Amino acid sequence: MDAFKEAFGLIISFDKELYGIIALTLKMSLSSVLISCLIGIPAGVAIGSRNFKGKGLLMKILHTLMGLPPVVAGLIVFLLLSRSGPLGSLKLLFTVRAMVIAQVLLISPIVTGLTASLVAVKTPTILETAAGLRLSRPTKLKLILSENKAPLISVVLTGFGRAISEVGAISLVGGNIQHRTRAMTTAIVLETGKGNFKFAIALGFILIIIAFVINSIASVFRGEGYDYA
Amino acid sequence: MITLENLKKYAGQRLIVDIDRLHIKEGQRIALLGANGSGKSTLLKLISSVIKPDEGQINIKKEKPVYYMPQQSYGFSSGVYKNILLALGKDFKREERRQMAAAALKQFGLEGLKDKRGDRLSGGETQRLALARLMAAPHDLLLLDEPTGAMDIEAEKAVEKAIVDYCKKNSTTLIMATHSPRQALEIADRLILMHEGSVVEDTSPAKLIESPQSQWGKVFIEHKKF
Ligand SMILES: Nc1ncnc2c1ncn2[C@@H]1O[C@H](COP(=O)(O)OP(=O)(O)OP(=O)(O)O)[C@@H](O)[C@H]1O
Ligand SMILES: [Mg+2]
Repeated sequence: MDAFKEAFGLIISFDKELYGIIALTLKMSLSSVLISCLIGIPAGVAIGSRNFKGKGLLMKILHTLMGLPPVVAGLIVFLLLSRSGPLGSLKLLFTVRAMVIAQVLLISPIVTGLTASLVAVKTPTILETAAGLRLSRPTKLKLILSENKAPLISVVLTGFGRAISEVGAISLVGGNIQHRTRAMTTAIVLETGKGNFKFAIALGFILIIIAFVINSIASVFRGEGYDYA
Repeated sequence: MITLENLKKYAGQRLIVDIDRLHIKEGQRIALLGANGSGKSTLLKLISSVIKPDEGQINIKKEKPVYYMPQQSYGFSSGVYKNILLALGKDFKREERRQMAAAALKQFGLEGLKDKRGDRLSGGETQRLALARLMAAPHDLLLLDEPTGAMDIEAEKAVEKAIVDYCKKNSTTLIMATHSPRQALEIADRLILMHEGSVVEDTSPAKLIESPQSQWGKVFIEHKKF
């Protein structure tokens, strides 16, 4: 129980180390999700809203990539960015940027695949209705996004959840360097291993708080469900 | 207004629309009849170019825009009134748009639902919204796929009158799929009966009642009170 007390003490005393890690984690996760969504949502909408040749194969590839183990994503980016690798000259290995690249590799297929399957439910009907009303292309696009708002917010949240909770890829390419590439998850692994439970508990607790706050904000924007219970 | 020539549409190996030639004159009001799966909706989708034919041509005079209400109507999640404004687009001045939308709300009995989300309406309400959205502005060419399928009797009667008035006022060419012989006789001046993707009877209401040519024409007459 002492560990819990001490963990709480760290949180309310605004421990510099602790909040540094939290800031770095948020910066990394939000960047990863933002980039993954910029790639994955347009791609997912394009794939999900119509039928074309080779769609089946494309979806199979996407589903495979969606299940990509984080350490494999980490390994790929590690090899690309290592000094002798093709992008070694960029000197990105063991930086937050490398962590973001690995996470984008991991998360953008998830965003694309989820968007494609969720958008496919309503979009054909939306497009047929819009075509019948002779609406312009930009209006159609706007309708696809606004009518699918709730599922798209879920997609963003899923991506964020994945980013903030992920360990394997970021520890490989980030290296878990103190003050530079140490994120909440990698710090928890490290501190727990060292027996420094108060730090790990404090981080774990804050992870849960962040998840709760993000979900609460999203549910306001989502505006789904019925007017009655 | 519309000429179809050698029109064919397949679903896999099966021919679901197969029309040699069909000409529709300007201002005609056509009821498209036929059993489930006879190809009414597919034909309307072809004419509105929601889907493409596998063979043949659809020629529309002066490339006039086709306005179309799908069998499965859908209300956009913005409010009912906003749904109508969206459909009116930028072709009209702001004040004009408001007046037209208000008139459409009134005509289709949607005033009380003005601010309700379009995706939270009942089946019949959604159909009324779809019609109000489509008919808020005058159009030359209107395709309706079972527009009153989910409506109560009173709403159905009001809508039938609204459709006829609209078409007469704007000289609109109308093609409407329906399962109700009574409704067909109420609205249309030409009846087209489909069976397995083809036109099996194409005639005026009076002629069909007098002397139906096909077996399906005879069935139609037996049920004309419904
Ligand atoms: N997307 C599709 N893929 C395969 N077959 C289809 C598709 N759409 C329609 N069909 C088939 O084409 C035939 C004609 O369908 P259509 O929807 O045009 O019938 P309909 O006359 O409108 O029937 P209903 O009165 O039930 O609305 C049906 O046998 C149907 O199963
Ligand atoms: Mg149909």
